[in-house]
Amino acid sequence: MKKKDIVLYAVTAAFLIFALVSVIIGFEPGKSLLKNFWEYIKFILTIMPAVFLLIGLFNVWVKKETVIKHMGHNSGIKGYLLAIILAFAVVGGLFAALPISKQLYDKGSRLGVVMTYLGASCVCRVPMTLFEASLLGWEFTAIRFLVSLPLIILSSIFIEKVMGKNPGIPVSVSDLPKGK
Amino acid sequence: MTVIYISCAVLYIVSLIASPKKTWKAAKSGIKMLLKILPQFIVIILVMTFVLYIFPPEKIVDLLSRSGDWVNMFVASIIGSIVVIPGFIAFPLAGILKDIGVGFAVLASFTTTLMLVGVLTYPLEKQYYGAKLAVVRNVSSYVIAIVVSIVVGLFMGGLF
Repeated sequence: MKKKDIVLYAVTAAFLIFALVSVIIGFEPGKSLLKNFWEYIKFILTIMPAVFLLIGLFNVWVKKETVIKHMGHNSGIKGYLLAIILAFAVVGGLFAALPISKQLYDKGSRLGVVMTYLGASCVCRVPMTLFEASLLGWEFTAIRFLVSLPLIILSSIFIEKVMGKNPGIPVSVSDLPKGK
Repeated sequence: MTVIYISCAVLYIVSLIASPKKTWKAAKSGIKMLLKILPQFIVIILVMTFVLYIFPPEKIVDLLSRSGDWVNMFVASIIGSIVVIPGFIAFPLAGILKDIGVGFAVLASFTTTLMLVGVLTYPLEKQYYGAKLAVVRNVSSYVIAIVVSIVVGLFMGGLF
């Protein structure tokens, strides 16, 4: 374990002890902090294991050539459309979309397509959209979609150009068997 | 939530039938990736816990119902860029803002930056994509959010 991680776990433990003591003695700020913390932790603990297990499956079963063919440099407009379709199904927000998109990148998807996937998964996840439309109205959601999606594709192409040949992206977060 | 666990289970069963060895490898690599990024998740959660305490939803409502729409849109974009609020808090909050008469452009600015721009999630993004890409993506996402808000304002009123 890295030293940084040990400090982090110590801080987390200290926070939890503070929060628990707050609950016992009825210290209000501590109690509401614990409530906030619990909401986030619950979200991470319930969704993330499934998300990462699915990433693992994708990693083992989907061949690099397949990703390169459909989302790589010669995939054209189809790569971008596929990225948007995949993005519709994402759950878990940026926390899930980041590792999934990185996995696509590692498998040979071009950067523009990966960025489109990332952006689209932020703005048009289906469950979230239904919720949004029911509260803010369909007109609002429709305009937001129609304006943001083309802009996301354009900016993704722009980002790919700006980053150039050596985007300085860390090789991989996962230690996987080489060549897979 | 249930959907993702059901699909996960189904896919793992199929995978197990096809190749137990590969399935084991899949599970192991997935868990390994999660454990590796978990400290990053915890840091963000801890920071968010305090940010949400300092800026509870009531305070955000208060901030966004004060001045003119252009100013509000700007303030909303700043708040939205910094905080990370799960959808189940963010959208009801936007609903409240709508009910008290905050313009749609402001709502668009708040929700879009909330989803697309992440100052607090920057360390996480940096770990996956490096500093340069994380900065470029967040800046261009911010521009997108502002354009979206102005167009929403154009069609649904509130700005002009």
